[in-house]
Amino acid sequence: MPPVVSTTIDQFSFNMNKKRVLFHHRFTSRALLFLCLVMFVRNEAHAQTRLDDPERFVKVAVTGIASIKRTGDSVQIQTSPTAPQASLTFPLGSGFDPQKRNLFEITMRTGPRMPALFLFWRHAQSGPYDSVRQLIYRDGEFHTYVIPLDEEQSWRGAISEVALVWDAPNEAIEIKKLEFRPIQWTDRIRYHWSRFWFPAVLNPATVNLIRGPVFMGLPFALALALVFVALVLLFCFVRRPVGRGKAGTADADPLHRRRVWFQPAFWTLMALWVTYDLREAHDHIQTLKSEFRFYLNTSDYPRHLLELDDLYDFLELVAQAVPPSKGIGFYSARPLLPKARYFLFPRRVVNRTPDVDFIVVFQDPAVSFQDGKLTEKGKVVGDRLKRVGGFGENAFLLEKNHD
Amino acid sequence: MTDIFGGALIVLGLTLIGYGLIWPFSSTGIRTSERLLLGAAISLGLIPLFLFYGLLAGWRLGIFSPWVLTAGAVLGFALWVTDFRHGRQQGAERLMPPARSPQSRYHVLLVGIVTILLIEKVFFVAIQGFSFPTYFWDAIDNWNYRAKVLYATGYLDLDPRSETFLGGGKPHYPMGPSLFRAWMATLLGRWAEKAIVFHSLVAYLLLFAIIWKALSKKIGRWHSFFFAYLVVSLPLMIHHAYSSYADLLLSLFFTGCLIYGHEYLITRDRLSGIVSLFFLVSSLFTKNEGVVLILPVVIIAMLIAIGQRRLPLGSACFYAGAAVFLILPWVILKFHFGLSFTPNEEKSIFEFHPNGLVKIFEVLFRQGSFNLFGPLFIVSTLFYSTIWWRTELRILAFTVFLLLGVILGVFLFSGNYAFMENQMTINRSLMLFMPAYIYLVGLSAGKHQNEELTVPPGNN
Repeated sequence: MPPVVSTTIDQFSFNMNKKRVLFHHRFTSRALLFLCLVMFVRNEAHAQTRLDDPERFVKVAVTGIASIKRTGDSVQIQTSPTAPQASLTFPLGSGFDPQKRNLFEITMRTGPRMPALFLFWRHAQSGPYDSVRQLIYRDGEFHTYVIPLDEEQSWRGAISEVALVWDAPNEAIEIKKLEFRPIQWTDRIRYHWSRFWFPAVLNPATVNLIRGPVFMGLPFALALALVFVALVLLFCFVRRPVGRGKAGTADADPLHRRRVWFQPAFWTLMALWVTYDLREAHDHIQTLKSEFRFYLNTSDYPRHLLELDDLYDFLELVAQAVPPSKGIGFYSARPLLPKARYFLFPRRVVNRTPDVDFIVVFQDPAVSFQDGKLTEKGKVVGDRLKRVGGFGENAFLLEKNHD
Repeated sequence: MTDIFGGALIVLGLTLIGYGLIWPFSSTGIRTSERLLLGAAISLGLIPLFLFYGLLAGWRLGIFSPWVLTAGAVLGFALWVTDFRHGRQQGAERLMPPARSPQSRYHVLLVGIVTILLIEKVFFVAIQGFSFPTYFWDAIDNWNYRAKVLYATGYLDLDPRSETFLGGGKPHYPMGPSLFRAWMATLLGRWAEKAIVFHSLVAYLLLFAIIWKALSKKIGRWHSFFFAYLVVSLPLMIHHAYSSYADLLLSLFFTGCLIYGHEYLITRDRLSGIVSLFFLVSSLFTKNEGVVLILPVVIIAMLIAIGQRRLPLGSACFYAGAAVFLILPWVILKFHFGLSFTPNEEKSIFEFHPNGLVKIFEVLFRQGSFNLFGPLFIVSTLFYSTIWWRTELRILAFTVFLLLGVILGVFLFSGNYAFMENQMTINRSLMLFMPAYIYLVGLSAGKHQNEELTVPPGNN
């Protein structure tokens, strides 16, 4: 039906006044509704469980943590140099309702060695844990991470405890905010938006694939591909040729008809390609930022390079201390033997053997050195050794004492 | 900084040597600047082969001293100066009218953004390459480790019981990349990683430059600029530019082999044929895929070209014969020591893995390794397939698709599916055919534009 249009000035002004009144009423009712919503949201927002408040923090159980202290508005944690993982476990009372506390929010900063944070939870003290993994920035600056838990199947019922776990020995963590609260629609946008920008850093083991960013739960590459398909379909619909075209006109030429959709399709694809590439450039910049701060532009020694930690500076130190003709026994809990073999060549590097002139230990919690003795899981594997260099407790070089 | 400067000097020297190497061959379409690019690319592949012959003959790596490099470079420079003074410039058939500058405001904007993105990539790659020690696994475990051993020992250890047998690492891998890096270190007099990384970095830059140069003759400078950008902006490619792996090199050699091989078929340009042959030989000595995948694909393509009377039998025999002859010492050595051409012999048995099709979709459309290559592949194949069928691009398209089919076949129809499932090699293998495919799309765009321009008068 065609719309009714006022034809006279009177009718027009009457309609306008009527509209104004209607508008006024609508505005008032909507404002009230909005106010109620805001108040509801505010009330809900106050229904939070802060894990970093002093009372709750007293009860926290720690593993793999060398020191933990509260200063001002933050909690400072130093993970242990010898443990592969660090964790904080918070017991939750019976009053904790996961249905109403379905968003986890943490504001923290970490160093370069830590690629991700894990949130674990379980229902009974002895039950199995469920977990979510959260990628984190490694630029040493504060970032807020929100993790929606409402879609997690096991985030229901009575949860007895939650744990925060980090995979990095000897790393500093500073937490400013640590809480559970009800999820709001703005949180979901925040979550997706922040997740989109997390920089993907390649695993130092391989350069076989790049996972790529995620946008609104979809891989960004796929999201752009869908946008592309939608735009092409829309364009084809708008510019669809009518019939086969009159003879003698450009429309009659099949090449021309193909070009009509192909050229815009190609340039659209180019624009989307460049969009993806801009996002990729963001990853590069984030990677460089972390590398500059902790490795290239720092006076600290040893320097840290992502998950490899201070391995490069340590191996350089070993190369300076061990003559090229000597053999080295290499102990590490991580698969770093090929790296040691390469960087220390022509020195002969053998995996986990004490029957050589020098022993190198790098991040191996099972191995310790005391009173000239090297012990592995409590068993002495080498004695008459002396420490000739290293970085603290988890990276050191031992030489056999032939006296 | 000294190492970086040293590495740059070596690359310059190699470029001039390569220039000298292809100087005797005349060309109707390859100009001086393109000859320089090809000289650099070819020397990356051929010099290790010559080094291998020398080492096999019992020479030491030190024989190929800086004096050899300097003498070769001076000779190449002299030839270049001669060419430059005599204006040895030739043209090439152009499929599209030359676009001297971007044609619209949007075009200018896109060129600007793309240029900034390219600069960002070069900066990122250079920082990663020059500022950090070797980082990734295969370089540590094989390519650079082997190079370091070869540099330290200085000769070819042929005792299979020795830890330094064929340089150590993984002896069944071809020695090309490692030998080249060992030679760079020999020239510099020390193991200098900042110089060694030039081997990867230059391959990345050459891939861009060769595609840009080769396409610009056909479709104009600005259009080819976009296509060259598409190649080097594949995210995985960027990380391979500094990783000291060999996949990017192999991709460069295969692409070069196809571009100039196709050029030879169309124009009978002798230099193009020789360059294609050199690229093919280089690929055979870079990774096992060269012998196992690329050589059969190229031979099948040649047989078809012979069948279509596009390639004289004599030329084909010379081409294939020379390639086989040049790589024969390496192949004989491998047979002699029982070294395999595949990573795992028991994975070579026939078995179909339909799940692989889902994995391929995931790799091309969901992951971030290749930007939007998946949609580009679908759209361009749909659009250009008729052009490929109708024109002389058919043989090029056939070769590219045959290689793709062979790559996918290896994963879908054998136990190598495991490498697709764990994502260890599928992305890297696909990276091998992508530059050649994008070049094909670029050529097709020019061809299409050309057909558009020459629509029969009755249709206008």
